[in-house]
Amino acid sequence: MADLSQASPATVSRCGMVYIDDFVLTYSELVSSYFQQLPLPQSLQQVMLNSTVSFLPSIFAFLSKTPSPIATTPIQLTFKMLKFFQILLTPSLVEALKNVKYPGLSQCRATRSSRRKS
Amino acid sequence: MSKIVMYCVMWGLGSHLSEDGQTKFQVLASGLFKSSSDGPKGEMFDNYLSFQSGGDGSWVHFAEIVPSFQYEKELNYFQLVVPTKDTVCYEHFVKQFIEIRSHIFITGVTGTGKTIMTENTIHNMHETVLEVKMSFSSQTASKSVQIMLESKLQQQRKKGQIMLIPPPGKRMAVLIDDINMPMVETYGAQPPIELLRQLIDTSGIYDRNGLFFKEVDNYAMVGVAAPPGGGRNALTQRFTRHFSVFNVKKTSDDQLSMIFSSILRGFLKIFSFKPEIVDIEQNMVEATLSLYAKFLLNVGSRPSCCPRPTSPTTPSTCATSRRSSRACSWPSPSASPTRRS
Repeated sequence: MADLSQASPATVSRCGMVYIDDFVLTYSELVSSYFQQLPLPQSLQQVMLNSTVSFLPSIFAFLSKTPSPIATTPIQLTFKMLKFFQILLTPSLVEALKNVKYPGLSQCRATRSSRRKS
Repeated sequence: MSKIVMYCVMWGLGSHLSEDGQTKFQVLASGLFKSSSDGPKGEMFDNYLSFQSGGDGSWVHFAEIVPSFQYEKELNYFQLVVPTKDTVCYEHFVKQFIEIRSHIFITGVTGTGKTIMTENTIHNMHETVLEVKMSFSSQTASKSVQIMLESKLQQQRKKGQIMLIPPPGKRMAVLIDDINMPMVETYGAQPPIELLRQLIDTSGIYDRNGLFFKEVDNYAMVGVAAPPGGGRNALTQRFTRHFSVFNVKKTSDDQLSMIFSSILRGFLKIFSFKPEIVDIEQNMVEATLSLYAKFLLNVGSRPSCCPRPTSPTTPSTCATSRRSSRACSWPSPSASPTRRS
């Protein structure tokens, strides 16, 4: 249930309740769970995840200010983005990606650990 | 790989925006992606990523894959579709999303060719896709929607559960035109929409007579609708959140003139008009369009005569110029004056 605005006290009293704040469960969990199930080496997953997630905050900040013809939520858009990944990352492409040596791999790890320290 | 990320982020998060929004989004994104030089030439929203040539993937401009237009005598004027870069673009996405059985929602102002484009796409996939076409009006009842759906599907018993599935080897694509038309009832719901929402939420529907649950499998929904206003209602977010929303861009002036002139040229050629007439084809189209632009200006200044207060110009956008171009396609070559001279 999304919110309790339409729920009567009778409904509420019958339910056990777990409250999940938007702040706890955000798009980044969705994205990371998607990348984790990809059949790719972990380091590669991490690189893709990091580079994707790094764009998201500023984009969603922009989107929340921009009117769109149909009201959308960040989660919905995240799903859509993941569908694009799903379409693009065909099994053959995933195989090809495994063999590519990605030059920025070590660099990316470094930035991540430095971010953690700060 | 940065190309993949870039492509997915851009199209995934930006393609639901209006044209203005997309332009701003591109400005923002070009700032974000500054570090990588892997971006496509020109505008991001005109390109897609292709791995057909293998390797790291390459950007393909949608204009490159536009097929050329063939005028067909037998077709009704309103069935003629001139492929443009936009129709090709959204056909591409509709196809991809149906293939992964994901629901997709196409919106955009009147006259962008949303309906006919999606219809064609699904029709072209008929070998693997069972086509279910519905067109909603304000009076559509949820029962008729359910009957329509059930009539297309096969019943199957699986582990004591009744399943409704498309014929073997196919998946179902439910195309719903004007999905936001159904009337809002007293309590704020739109019954046909609620039925579809139940279908997506719980992946099944209840049998109206036996009151048991029937699972529906292997389908994708394609919703098509113009923005709310003028009898169109805003859809509840509980429903739209299941969809990937795409906004079809308004057809630009260049494209309009391209569309009309290719129809007219095709017509003039097929009925073997004299070259004198074929030559003025471009002028005819330009005159029609500029007349139309003037007409819009005048109508815009007098809101009282506009049929829809919320969007004064959209209803007649293409319809008017379409009609005038259609009128041009009426005369037969024998009736044209140059033939006699």
